[in-house]
Formats: sequence, structure tokens, C-alpha cells
Amino acid sequence: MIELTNVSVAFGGKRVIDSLSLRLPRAGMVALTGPSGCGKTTLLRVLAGLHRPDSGSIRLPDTPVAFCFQEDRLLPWYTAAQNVALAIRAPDDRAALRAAEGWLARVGLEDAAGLMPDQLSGGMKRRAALARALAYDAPVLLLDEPFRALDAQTHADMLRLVRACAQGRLMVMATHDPADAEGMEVIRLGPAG
Amino acid sequence: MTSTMMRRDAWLRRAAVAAVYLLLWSGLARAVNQPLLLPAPGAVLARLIALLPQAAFRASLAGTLARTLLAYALGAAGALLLGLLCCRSRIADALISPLMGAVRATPVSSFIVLALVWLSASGVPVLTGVLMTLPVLHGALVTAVRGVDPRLAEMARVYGLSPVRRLRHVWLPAVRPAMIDAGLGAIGLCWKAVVAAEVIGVPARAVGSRLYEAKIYLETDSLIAWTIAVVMMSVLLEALLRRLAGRYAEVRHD
Repeated sequence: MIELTNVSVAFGGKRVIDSLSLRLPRAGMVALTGPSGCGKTTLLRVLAGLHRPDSGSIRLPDTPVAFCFQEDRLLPWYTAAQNVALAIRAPDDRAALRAAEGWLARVGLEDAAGLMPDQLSGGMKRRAALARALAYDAPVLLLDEPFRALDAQTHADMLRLVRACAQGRLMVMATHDPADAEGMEVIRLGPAG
Repeated sequence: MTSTMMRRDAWLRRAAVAAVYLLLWSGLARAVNQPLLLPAPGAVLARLIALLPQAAFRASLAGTLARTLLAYALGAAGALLLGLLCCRSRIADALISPLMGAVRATPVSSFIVLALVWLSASGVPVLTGVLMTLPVLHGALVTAVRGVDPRLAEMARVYGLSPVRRLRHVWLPAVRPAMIDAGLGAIGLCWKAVVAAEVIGVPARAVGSRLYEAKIYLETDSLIAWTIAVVMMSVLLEALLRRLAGRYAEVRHD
């Protein structure tokens, strides 16, 4: 259970999140929507424990969090498979790499496992970052605009995969596309959180 | 063009450049016509060939090489320790970084003369080499660590990588290119500083001492022969380090 009470966050005197209170269940799918700059990324960072609110109280579970950041954050010196393997707990590096290749295949990147990030297109990098988040065994899955730079068909395929992987976990996804939020609990943030 | 052909072309180019300079040197020596001021390349080569089989020659090169490697290792270890301290603590950075700047700006001869007051003749070149290496590697390390993308470090933390795995997968690969460049630059600097300190301190079994003696006895051909030997050693050492660094850079962590 995640609980936020009267949480506020400001950057340079401008309030991005203003007295936000919410309770999130242990499992379920939540969509964060709202215009650009309304605090979706900031809220995800607060939920991940990466940003301490300026005021209010927050209760986070003491469990690992898988986070698909807004930027891809792939290590440029590793291949796509090695990047995903980093997030996988396995008996050894070889097993982690094999599992990573499986995850890359699930996001349609089976042929790109050995490519370096600078050899991937924007959409491929996005899917590699998504594969890393989905591969990480954590009860909380935070996705910050995970389908950015994807074509319509890939977007639909990835949404299906994310929904399947979110079963039994808490998944919070920031999105601009109302269609992504279908069947999810929606938290709509205003211009100031 | 194949890589073998490209390599052959590069060698041919280098040989042509060397031939041009040898011809220039030869012409100049003939024009000056005073071996004391500028001996001909042939005389220097003959002197170098005469030096090669001498045990004293090998002992001098070995002594200078040992001092250089010791100074480099101590400088690198100090740079690692102080660099990490500066990255972790603002107070340490405020104390250490200006000192490194001062060391970097101080002329090498000042260190040598000061070190002669404090240390034995053999210790002077080592201290001088350390003082030349330390600020270069320290500065490179601090800049490289500060240049690491904090978002990548944050990603590694979020994905539960232990501090050791973060070091292995994020920090080391991120700072590696800058450190290899700085390391290769510093070894040449260290080598030159050690020889310069040996010329002034005149320790036993040292190339610098042989250079000093050649100057005292006005053996200009010996002086140039020793200089060529020391340059060749420096080039070989740098090439060896470059090869080691290249091998290290190829290591992939999977």
C-alpha cells in the first residue's frame, strides 16, 4: 500500500504538485494523465522514493521498484541485452543475458539484442528500456510515458504486454493517451498537481 | 584498402618522415662542421651501437625505468585516493584541489631543487615523477567522475545494483576513456620529469646521470645517443601501456 497525504513539491518556487493525497493498492493498474508539466514525472519519482516532497507525508512499501524512466537511460557501453540483463537477478551473468534476450524478444527486439544503444532507433531504445523495467522482479512498476516514439501497432502491442506484466503488481503509468488508460484507475493531475 | 596495406602505408610514411629529418640533420652537421656542437647522425649511431652491449647502459636504463614506474604507480595510487576523496567530500575538495593546481603550476626544477634538500639522490627523481603524475591523474579522475551522467547512476540504484556492481557497470566504464587518455599522457610526463631530476640529482644507475656526464665531458655524440635511447624507451613504454589500455577497453562485462 502506498499512501500520500497533502504532498507538495515545488521547483524554483513553482508548485508542481500541490497538496496531493492518494492511496494506491498493492496491486492494480493506475494511469496518471494530465497536460505536460502537471507533475506526472515528479509524482512517479516521489512514488519511487527518488524525490522527497517539500511537505506532506508519504508511506512507501519497503520493496524494490521497477522504473521505466522518461529518458531511456541505457548504458551506452553495453548492448541492449546487457542493459536489460543488469536488471535481472539470475545465478550468473550468462543466465541473466539469456533471460534478457527473452525479454527483448517479447518487446520485438529479438534481432537487436547485440546492438549498442547508439545503433538503436528512438522507438527501439524505448522498448529496450521498457523490457528492462518489465524484466525487473519488483512488486511496483512505474512507467513514465513508456510508449513515446512508438508507431500505432507497436504501441498497441506494448500496451498489451504491459497489461499482462502488471497482473499481481501495482503498475502506475504516466501517459498522454486516454486510450492507454482504458480499464485502469485514472488519476488526472491538473496544471499544479 | 586492407588493414595490412594501411599499416604498411603508415610505416612507409613514418620512414619517409624520419629520412627527411635525418637528411636535414646530416646537412646541418656538415654545414656546422663541429662535432662538439652537432655530431653527424652516423657518429651518434656508432656511439649508440657502442653503448648497447655495455652493462652500465642497461643498468642505467633499468634504473630510470624502475624509478619511472615506481613514481607513476605512487602518483596513480595517490590520484585515485585523493580524487575519490574530492568526489565524496566538498571539504576534501576545497583542501586538495587548490593544492593540486599549485603542484601542477610549479616548475619541475623547483621541485627537484627542494627534493634535493629533503631526499637522497635516488629518491629525488621518484618524488619529482610523483608530483608530475599526481595532479594530472587527479584532475582527470575528478573531472571524469563528475562528468558521469547522474541519471545513469540513479537508474543503477533503482534497479538494485549493489555498490560493487554500480562501480563495475556504471562508474568504471564511464570514466575509463578519460582515464586511459590521462594515464597515457602522464607516463610520458613522468618519464621526462624523472630523467630531468636525475640530471640534477645524479643518482647511480640513471640515464639522467649519464646525460649529465656526457655534458660535463663534452661528449655531444653520447649525449644525443643517450637521449635517443631514453626517447625510444619512453615510446616503448607508452606503446606497451597503450596496448594494455586497449585490451582493458575491449573487456566487455556481460
